[in-house]
Amino acid sequence: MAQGFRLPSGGRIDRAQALSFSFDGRSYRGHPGDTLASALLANGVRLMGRSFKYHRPRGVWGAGSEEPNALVELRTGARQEPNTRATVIELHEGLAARSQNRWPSLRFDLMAVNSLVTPMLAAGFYYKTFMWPASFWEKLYEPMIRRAAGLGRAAREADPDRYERSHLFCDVLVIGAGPTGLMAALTAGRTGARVVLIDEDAEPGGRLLSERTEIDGAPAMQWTASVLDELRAMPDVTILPRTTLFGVFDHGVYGAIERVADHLPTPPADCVRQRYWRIIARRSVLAAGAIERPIAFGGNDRPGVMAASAVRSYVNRWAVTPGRRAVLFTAGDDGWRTLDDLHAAGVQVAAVIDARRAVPDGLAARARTAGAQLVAGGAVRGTQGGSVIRSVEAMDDAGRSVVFPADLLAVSGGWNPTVALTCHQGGRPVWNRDKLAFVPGTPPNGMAVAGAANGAFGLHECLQEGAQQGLAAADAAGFPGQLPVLPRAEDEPSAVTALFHISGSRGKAFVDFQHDVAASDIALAEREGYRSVEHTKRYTTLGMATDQGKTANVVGLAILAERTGRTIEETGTTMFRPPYTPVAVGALVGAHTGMEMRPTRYTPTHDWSAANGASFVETGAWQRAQWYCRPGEAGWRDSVDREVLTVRQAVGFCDVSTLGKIEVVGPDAAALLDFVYTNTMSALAVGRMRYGLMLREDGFVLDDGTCARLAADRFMLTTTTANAARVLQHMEFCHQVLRPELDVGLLSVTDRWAQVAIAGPKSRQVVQALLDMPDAATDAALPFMAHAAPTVCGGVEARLYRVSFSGELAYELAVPADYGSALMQAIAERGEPFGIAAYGTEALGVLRIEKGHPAGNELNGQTTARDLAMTGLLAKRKDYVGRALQGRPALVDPARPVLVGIRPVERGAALRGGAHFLAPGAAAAIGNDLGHVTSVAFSPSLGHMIGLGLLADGKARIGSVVRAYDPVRNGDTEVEVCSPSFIDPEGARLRG
Amino acid sequence: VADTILQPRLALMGEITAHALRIAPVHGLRWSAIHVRRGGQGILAERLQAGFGLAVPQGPAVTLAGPASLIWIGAERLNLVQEAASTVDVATTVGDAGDVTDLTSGQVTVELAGATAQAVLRKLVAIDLHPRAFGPGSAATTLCGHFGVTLWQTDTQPSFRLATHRSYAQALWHSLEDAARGF
Repeated sequence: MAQGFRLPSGGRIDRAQALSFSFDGRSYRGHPGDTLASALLANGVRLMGRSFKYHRPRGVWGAGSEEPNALVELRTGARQEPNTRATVIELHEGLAARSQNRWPSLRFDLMAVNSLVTPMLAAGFYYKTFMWPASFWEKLYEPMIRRAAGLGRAAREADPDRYERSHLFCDVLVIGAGPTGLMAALTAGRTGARVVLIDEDAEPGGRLLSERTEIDGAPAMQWTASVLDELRAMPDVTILPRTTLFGVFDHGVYGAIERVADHLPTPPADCVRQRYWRIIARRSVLAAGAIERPIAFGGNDRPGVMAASAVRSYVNRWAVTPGRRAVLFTAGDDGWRTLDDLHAAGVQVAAVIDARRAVPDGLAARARTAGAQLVAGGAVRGTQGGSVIRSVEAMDDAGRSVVFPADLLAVSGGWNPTVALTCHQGGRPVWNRDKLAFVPGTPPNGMAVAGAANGAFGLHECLQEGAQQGLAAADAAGFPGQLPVLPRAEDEPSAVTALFHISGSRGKAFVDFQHDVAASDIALAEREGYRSVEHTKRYTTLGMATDQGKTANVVGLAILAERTGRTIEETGTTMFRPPYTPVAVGALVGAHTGMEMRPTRYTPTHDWSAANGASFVETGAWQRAQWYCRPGEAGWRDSVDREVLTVRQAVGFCDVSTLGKIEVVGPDAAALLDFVYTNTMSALAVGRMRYGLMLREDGFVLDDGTCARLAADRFMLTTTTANAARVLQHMEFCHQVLRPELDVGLLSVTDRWAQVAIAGPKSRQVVQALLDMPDAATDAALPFMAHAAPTVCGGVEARLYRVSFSGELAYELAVPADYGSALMQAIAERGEPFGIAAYGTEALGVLRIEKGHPAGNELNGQTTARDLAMTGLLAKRKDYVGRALQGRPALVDPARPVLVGIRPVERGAALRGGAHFLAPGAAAAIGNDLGHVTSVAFSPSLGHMIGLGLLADGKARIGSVVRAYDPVRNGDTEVEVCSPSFIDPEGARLRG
Repeated sequence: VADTILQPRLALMGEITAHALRIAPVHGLRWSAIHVRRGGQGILAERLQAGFGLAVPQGPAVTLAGPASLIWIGAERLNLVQEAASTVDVATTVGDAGDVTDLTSGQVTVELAGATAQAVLRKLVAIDLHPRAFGPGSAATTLCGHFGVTLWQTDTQPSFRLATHRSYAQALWHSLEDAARGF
């Protein structure tokens, strides 16, 4: 199909190249430089979507990122993206887009019947309709609303593209590369400051790309090109096109999204689709320009009604005439430029309707030249047409109706400075009566606003403010400089009259196109008592669409002001929040997806375990060996049972490198430990170790572990794997905040040691087979809870701790981490004559449950030392963190659940963690709850399941029977309450 | 040590190359953490100067003297990194002015050298690496994505060294491979 609306010459498009693309399955052609919107208009496609609530036909309103109407589904398959604005989609070969929110087709949309029931869908519709009965909400209303809500459909498949995050630091960040921003960047750049210039468009220039303006007596884009040349030659200036600054955060931090490959059919290999820039700037200059505002009149949403400035963009930048016969409706001087540009492009302009009664003579002459009828003091009250307008109905200053056949209506209601980013730190825009616009209030710290964003609408003013603010920003960042000689440019006339809403409109007069909010909705809200803009916004949903009301808000609140008999200043405005335009979550996540969501930590023995049949389990960030499968074992239980029995009967070994290891050094090391541990570590002899307990300040248990004294002023602590970072943080807090006078250093050495537990009655023989001096491990040389620093396997430095988690005679042997896998192999070989087997975290868990040692399920942040039968570790004659608050009445209540062991009365029955304890015969009600089962395991040593639990009056109930009630999995099992120590309660084996 | 039957296994092997960039693990470094004792700062500075020719950096920086480098980590914490050629014993040198803990084999270190290094690093760390802000002798203890690293610059090529805990070696390497794609 020919591009019937493409002008024969002009535009910033590459006519030498044709691109084919499709919209709703039909093929069209455009050129590089086109947007989807300009290419569709060039092909005469005016209808691009259906509106949100009423499914009204919609075309393109604007030519920028504020577009509320022309939202389409872009691409197909996994790359399908809903609600993309056709005005900012750069055309590429093979681009495929579809209209959305219509069924069965864009031209014939059955949901358009919504228009017939408009009274039902008015302001507050949801609040009024879906209130009663409450029981309908979850089952009926919410699913119904969810089905009807939303516009496009997201891809169902995973995103195949890469995203990344990067950081930029600069002295001056310039936001927007129009004339103001270019001037600011140039002035700041010349001082030697580091400057970042970003712009959402593919090409810098801002409005200069769309206007037939001159600078220094030549087309403005020549000046733009020379500025860009100079900026690109500066080593410390970074220019980022296709980049949207979406948020302003504390301390000079700015967020921006660079669309690296969105303009390409698919991202090239090794290229990300989008890049999230975190920009840290000493100063910033906001030169975001302004957005032309619509006027609320009847039928102002029909395809063919467009912003006057957008019409100029299509004509001048893309050489497209959005219609054959136009009418211009303007509230001020600026709209008249559209008359000139349309006339120059050979488009017939039937009429200019200027809301002002007194139109300057010069303008009236321009209307005559263009052959357009001037209607001064007039207004548009309605449009007629179907999927595109056919005629415009205007009123003259006497209220008489005049109808102009036209397929294009250009509307200029004045300009709104783009103040969105100035609101991100709480700044509230203020109404400027002279400019009839909200200008920035208090911009975020470090930001200055210049040019049209600041209400300076003339080109000369823009260049001047840009230069001034660029210089001031550089100076404030420590780079003084001089104001440049400003290029010659004129301030175009920009007088405007206040015109927001045409009363007596024919048909719906829309305020918020994207959310289908009409002037009548705001009027209704006012009648129902709404006066605050914030409340009205939420009640009518004005400005709550993804465009945040960039075109809608001012018109909406002007109508509210008028209805409530207040001025716009008195009415005030709503605010904007990040993001400025929608941001894909993928771009924020960057590389951290799937398994990369967080880093995976590998133990120093991982390679050995992987080569020896281990299955791995995620424990926090760690990968740990869960069990080691041997040939002939059918399931995990076979492996785990064998591993447990091997430890109980012979000897096993298990990686415990993931336990947190902290060295505490310095003259006051013992004093700090006495403060953070409940027991007294200062009394510990060098060469000995003990079990230690830490409480939080609120008296609950934080963590447990061991503490070995390496020297008078040096200790080695272990923590549980899960709490390693937390314990170090807690200890740093206790040191730096509570006891800063102590001279002590804390150091994580978790990664420095590969540590392996060797446990079982034959563990000593295995350890001795590894030691260069076997006598170092005799019971006399190394009694229970002693440690030493021997060498192993021919001179490798090691630390040997005689400590047990399994209840068996056991050691933990540590070597430098690089030797981890080699040590595992040496243990396997030298332990082989003793029947050794490696065991994983499952067997480790079974062994500790058999022994009744609390672990993560019991150290759950809700248990005290008393609950866990650890009161023996509470020193009586010293202070420690948590001492006072653990004595609160509720925490020492005799009925408070305490740790017990359980076994099923019928030994073959299964136990489940999480089951609640009930007395026999008690109803399953919360009032009868006696506690819960925390850990269960099949004990191969005993031949049945065992468990640990927290049971009210637990000690008194030992020997009695309670029920483990599990309504979730239909469990109701009678269990015997017993001591948590199922194996060797006297601890004889430990000292063997 | 010569007759040990155990062979150490390095956490990182390999190399990443791109335009004007080479990334490779640095093997054989010995790491010592030094806790500076209260009142011992002056003596410690003298001893480190005498033993290694290293001045104690004040603030986030590194001093470089041949095969030894001294990195400031915190108010009372320094890390001393020695290459094989540096044979001075740290604990003996420091004596009672501080507490020395050997961290060797708990740390992995990679070097990034070449003009592209900054562009790769800025994807990983939120540190200003512009020559005006960071140069040879600058150091930072910071986050690389989700894990902690120590970063320092050794020359104007520029060359950077990036160290992290051994268990994060693969995560670091993966991040570097990812960040270096497209160069």
